[in-house]
Amino acid sequence: MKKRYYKREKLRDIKALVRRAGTLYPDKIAYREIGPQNQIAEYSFSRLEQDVNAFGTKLLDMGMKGYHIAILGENSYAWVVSFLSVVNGVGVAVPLDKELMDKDLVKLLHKSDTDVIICSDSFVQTVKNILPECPRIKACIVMNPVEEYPGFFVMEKLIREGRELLEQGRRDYVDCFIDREEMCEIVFTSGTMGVSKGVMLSHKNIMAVVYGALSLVDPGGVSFSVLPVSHTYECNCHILPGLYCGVTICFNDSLKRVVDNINLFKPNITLMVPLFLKAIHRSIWQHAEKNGLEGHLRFGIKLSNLLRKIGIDLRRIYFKPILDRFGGNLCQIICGGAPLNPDIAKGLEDVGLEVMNGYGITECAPLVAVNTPLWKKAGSVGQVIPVCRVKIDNPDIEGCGEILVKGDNVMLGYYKDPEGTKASFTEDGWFRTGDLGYLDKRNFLYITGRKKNLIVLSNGKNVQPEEIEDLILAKLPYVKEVVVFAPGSPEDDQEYIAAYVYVDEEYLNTRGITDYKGRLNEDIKILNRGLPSYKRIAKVLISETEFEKTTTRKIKRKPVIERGIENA
Amino acid sequence: MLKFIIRTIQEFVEVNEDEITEDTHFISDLHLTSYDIVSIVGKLESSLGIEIPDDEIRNLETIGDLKKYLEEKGM
Repeated sequence: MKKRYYKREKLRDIKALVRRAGTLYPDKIAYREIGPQNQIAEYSFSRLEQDVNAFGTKLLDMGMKGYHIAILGENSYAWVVSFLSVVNGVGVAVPLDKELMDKDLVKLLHKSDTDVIICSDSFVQTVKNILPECPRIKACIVMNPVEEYPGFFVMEKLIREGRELLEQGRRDYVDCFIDREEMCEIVFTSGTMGVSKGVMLSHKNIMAVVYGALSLVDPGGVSFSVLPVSHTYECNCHILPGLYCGVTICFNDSLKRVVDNINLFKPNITLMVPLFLKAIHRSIWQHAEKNGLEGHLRFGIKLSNLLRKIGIDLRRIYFKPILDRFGGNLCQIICGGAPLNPDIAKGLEDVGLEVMNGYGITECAPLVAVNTPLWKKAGSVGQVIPVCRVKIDNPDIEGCGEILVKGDNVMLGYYKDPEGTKASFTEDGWFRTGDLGYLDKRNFLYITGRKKNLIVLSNGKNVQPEEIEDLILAKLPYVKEVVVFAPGSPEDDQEYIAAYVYVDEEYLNTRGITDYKGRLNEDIKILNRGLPSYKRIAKVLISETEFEKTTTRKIKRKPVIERGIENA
Repeated sequence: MLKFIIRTIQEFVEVNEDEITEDTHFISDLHLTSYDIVSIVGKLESSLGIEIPDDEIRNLETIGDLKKYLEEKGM
């Protein structure tokens, strides 16, 4: 069967993408967001282009050419303007995860050689706290401040000044040449404590993903932005393709109000992680049960599926009351970041919400494969996008092995880490994803597991167990051995981080501590306060015996985790 | 207050009131996700007319933590 792709223009760089959007859709609304007094603010594509050019011009005027500029804040129009302004002719953007703790932010700012930080109003205090530890930072800029902050430049004022410079004829930013092979972004892989790596991406990498994603997916209308824009998934698979297609993107203002905001903005498409899909699926069935309509829903789905088999799709009519609870227009959800339970995907599709499950990794900017309405297979993560190739390394008898990727979307390398970069590529230049899987005859990719011990949570966050284990061993002197694991998988509903520990009883006894479990729970609670919420240990298990070891005295993780799961 | 919290949680997870104590852990005992916890807080905010900042949600691990937090807010 011949592949069918959407025909797309291959744009040279992100600057061309912004210019194209400003020209093709000047008056169309590009972004909607909820303001501080709950008013809806709207920004057109031409306003975006003007603001990007003005802000970029002003940053160059302030002598920031070549600077590494970190961006810290919630999803917003100002965040997008900051990112686009920096990458399109100023320097290197360093998007930071807003969930990080202060000490981790300091590490990443050092690691990325950040010169300037742009933050939202809610992170001004954080920036003030960490500034003394970041002497390299020369300037701080605040987006949408609600009050005056001495020492901080105000982004809106800089944009106004940039506009004046443009009116006076300054063209250095607008006309600057973009080297599409050069690093324009450093994005950190999974967080904290020295193990996260700075992935260097170029315009070529990012635009390859925009082209690849849009070859398979045709977004339009209104979309809803709920995932952190500091992640490549949201930025490169949503914000930037949205610019190409003239999509109106509406920003969610708080995770507390996702469903309310879907109802407010009434999007037809969104990008999510499995966590949200599980919640939507559960809420549909809970609502049906609560109203005594569970049987009706089951029957309706059965009938609708039969009709679909003969080409009659009445889902939007049959299930209108359900779809109306999610704004009424939502019909497509692109899902990535973690494994998705195929039953959830099917359950949502049954009622008219098409789920397009995909696969990506930050090092591939991030998209590698995605299912589409025309081309999809249940259980797969879709077809490999046309800008890259996938190869399975050392496949076993079932064709399963490590997924390798080569193509324009693959990163330049890890920032200031030539050894890490070298280790992540094969000798002939294929990127090692560390994920295991296989390809079927039609180039659909299937993920079967991880080569390393990484825990992938359904919210798309990754937890390196060794990182938490080292922390426990360092902070709790009475813990002799520890294995951190997730007793459930992202595909079920019992997903959390657990620590299985073997304690030094003698150490505790000599200090008069007999309630080992109580002491451990107390200490873990304190330790959790220094961790981002997704890395927190929710359960502690005590082993009465030492953990099984290999001949080289390494803990045999697999049997220990199996025992831990039994006891959890 | 405990009963009010439990009733709100019951909108997200099927759980018997008798099985919940102040030590009940949102994630390991009730199997709630981080998104569920944030949504529960959102519901409580609109019911009680208060605001719980995101960075304070991080410290709420058990039913008891939430109860204590709300009591300290004068609820």
